[in-house]
Amino acid sequence: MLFDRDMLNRLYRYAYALSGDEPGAGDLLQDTVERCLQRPPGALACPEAYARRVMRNRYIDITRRRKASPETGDAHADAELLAIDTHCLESLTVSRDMLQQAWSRLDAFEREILYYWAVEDMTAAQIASTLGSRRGTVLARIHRLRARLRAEFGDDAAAQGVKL
Amino acid sequence: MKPNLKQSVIEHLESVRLDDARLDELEALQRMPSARSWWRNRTLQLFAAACLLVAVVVNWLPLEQPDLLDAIAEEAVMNHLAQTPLEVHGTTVAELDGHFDQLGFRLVEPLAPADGGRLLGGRYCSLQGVTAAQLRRHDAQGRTQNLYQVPYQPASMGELPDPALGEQPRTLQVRGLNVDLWVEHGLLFALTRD
Repeated sequence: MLFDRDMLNRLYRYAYALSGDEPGAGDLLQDTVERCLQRPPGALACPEAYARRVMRNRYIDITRRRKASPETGDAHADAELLAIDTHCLESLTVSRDMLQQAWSRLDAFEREILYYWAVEDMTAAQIASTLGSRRGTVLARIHRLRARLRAEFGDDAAAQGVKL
Repeated sequence: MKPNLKQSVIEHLESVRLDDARLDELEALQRMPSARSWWRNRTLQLFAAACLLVAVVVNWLPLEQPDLLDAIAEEAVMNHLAQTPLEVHGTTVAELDGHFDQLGFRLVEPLAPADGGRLLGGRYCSLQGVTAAQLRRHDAQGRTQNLYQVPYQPASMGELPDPALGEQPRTLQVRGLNVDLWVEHGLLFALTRD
């Protein structure tokens, strides 16, 4: 079997990171599994990585809008961004409930960064390499994500003693 | 303790799980023979492509053949109606043959038509850009006919009847005239009649 149950759940989470909701993640996973099964047996050295790439491409195809595409983002790398890395996310403290509320309001690229940073424990450079983006693009999005999380949780977080 | 973003992300994502029924469905999908039959799909794709190619070739050639034959018949009729003066006069093919030394082939005395008519003479002409011989004759009733001879190209002209095999010429109607087409000795013959 190409994907065991643990792998399917990991792929489902990645699909959820892309789509932002569970129904969308389910469709994306189903579509991805079907596409992977069309590959010749034994042709995939790393089925999970291949599936993630298929899933991401499929998601971009489905959205067909630059605005919704995970590829969209600032393509420029400002000098000040060079000082930014995923470390700046480390200091953020947000409750799971609050994150859950905000999850669907983040864009796909932001959710994808959070997924790779938190679940796969990747640095900005590794995320950029995985997504085929420039490091500066990822850094810019991390910078924006941090600002967005601050804006999103600012008042509530202060009330709940959450540090941003 | 204040909740950490990374931990919250992990917890949030780990709370997202496929239920057992959905996992069962996805596992069943992977066990389905059709799901892994990439080779069969590939074979089917190749088979479909081959069928498509055959269909295109089979359909394209018959379409292409009448196009060329129609064009030849059309040009033959236009020459017939123009009644351009003959360049050489003679009552047998042997008499005329000496004149046609630029054809790249020898004139042939055709088996058809066997109507008791007589040859008047001939001239060079062109059918679809190929140099041809146009022989003019009268049938037994004195009606003018023009007989064209041009090299036969089976690939582009398709199969045509051969009187030597007892086959009757194919007849096309162009501008109110009949044009008979057949093959003899590797030459395409076109006969236009008033």
